[in-house]
Amino acid sequence: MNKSSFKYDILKEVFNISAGKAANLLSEITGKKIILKIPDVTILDRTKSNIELTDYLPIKFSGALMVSTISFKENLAGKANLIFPAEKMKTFIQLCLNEEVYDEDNLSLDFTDIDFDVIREIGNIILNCILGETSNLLDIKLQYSLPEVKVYNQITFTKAIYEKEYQHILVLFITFIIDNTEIEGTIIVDLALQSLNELLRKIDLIEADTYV
Amino acid sequence: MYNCCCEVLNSVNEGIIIVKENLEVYSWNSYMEYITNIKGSSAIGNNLYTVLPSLNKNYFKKTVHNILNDGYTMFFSAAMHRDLMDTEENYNIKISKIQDKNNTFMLLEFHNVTGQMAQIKQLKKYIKELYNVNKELKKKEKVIENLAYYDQLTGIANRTLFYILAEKYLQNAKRNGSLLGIMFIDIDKFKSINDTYGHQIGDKIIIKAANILKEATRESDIVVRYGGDEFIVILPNIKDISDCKIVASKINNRTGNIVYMKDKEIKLSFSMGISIYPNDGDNIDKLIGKADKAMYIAKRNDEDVHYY
Repeated sequence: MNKSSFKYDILKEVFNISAGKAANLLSEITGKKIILKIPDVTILDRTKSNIELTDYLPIKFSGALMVSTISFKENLAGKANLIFPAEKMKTFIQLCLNEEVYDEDNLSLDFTDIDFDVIREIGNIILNCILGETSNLLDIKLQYSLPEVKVYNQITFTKAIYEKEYQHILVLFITFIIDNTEIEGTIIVDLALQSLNELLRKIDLIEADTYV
Repeated sequence: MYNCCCEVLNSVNEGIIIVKENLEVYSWNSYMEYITNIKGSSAIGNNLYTVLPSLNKNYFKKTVHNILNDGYTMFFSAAMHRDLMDTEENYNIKISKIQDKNNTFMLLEFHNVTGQMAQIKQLKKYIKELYNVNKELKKKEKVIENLAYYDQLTGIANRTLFYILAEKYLQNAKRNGSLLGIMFIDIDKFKSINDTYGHQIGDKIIIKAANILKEATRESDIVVRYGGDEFIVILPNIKDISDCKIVASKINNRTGNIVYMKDKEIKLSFSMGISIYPNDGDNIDKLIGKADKAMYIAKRNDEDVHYY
């Protein structure tokens, strides 16, 4: 699929609609203005070339990564990973909890159980909304697990995310803005070939409807 | 089998509610009775939001709708939703859809995390206290460092710091093959000024002298109060003796070298002796000794400055 094709635009639009719903829910829960944007989408085919996933993470991801992962099944099968730089997550969590944000000296990369619970919830909302709305718009049924949240470095991350059984990867670049603090993240969705084909088939139907 | 399931639900250490699709409570386990003080018999058959009004929130209801329609599993962290449960304790809540052939239910699980949250709050409090103590200690360290290395009256380096810096600059000069100047300075007639006008005026003069020396010297030069009315200026990286001459003439030819009192003006003047590495010595003590001697010669000969 050519990046300039209309299909990419439909895919981006679908994801942005769902990201908007996630942002609304999070805004209601936290009482803060939250904006979620998905400025870009890429589809990668593992079978065609050797893909270095870290090439698709924003350049700022030089340190530890915080990853929420959910698995989904039924008409689309795969795993979705929401990835943010761990160093930004402390501030992010404190903003979500309406806690005082301490200066940089006070922050470390040791996350408490509460921090993991908060990220689990937010990851769940974002991934559920994005995958869920997508499945609604495409009229596909999905079943999900609750996210697992872990902190990785770039080496352990690549090993953890690489799934031999899923040949295709959908990469969504996501920008999360809370109270004027902006955090860039990535969503990596591993898809089996038939799942990608099903998704593209549904996009084709939407595209065809557009021209009618 | 049904009784067995009920026994299982009643023996888990988690609050479990099962509601029907219309949100009528179907099952309410023992732990839920313990959490809420609401008996199962009062809850079962009633609407979830009637039994637990604290759940009756817009976003919660939207979420329940999504769970029933789309099969989401939702997780509400205790940290982000302290007001979802009307209890002193804190619960993570997980909500998922259960479906068999004919029926749809929703399962709500309430997991007590009060202990963990209290521990984490306590730890964070300790960390903040330690951080503040550390910050204070660092401030005090700075004060102690200042007391150890800086003259309290003038704020410039003291004798202790002089020896540290002088040795460092001497080693640099040896490494680079450059010259190092040591200028020994004292205030002319300071003893008699001090005896005549008192220590307060004496201190004013010392402070003025330090300021004069700072202004007259180059940025790279170090002005030190060596003791009493004696000062030393370390002059690193001088090209030759003329650099020292320029500094010396700036010191004594300033028009602002006056201390004003109520009814009198005291004009300050200095006697200076200069020694230079490597010509006059290869260690600090030798260089100071020679600069000191040179200064006395300057005083005796009524010169401003004398070069060893």
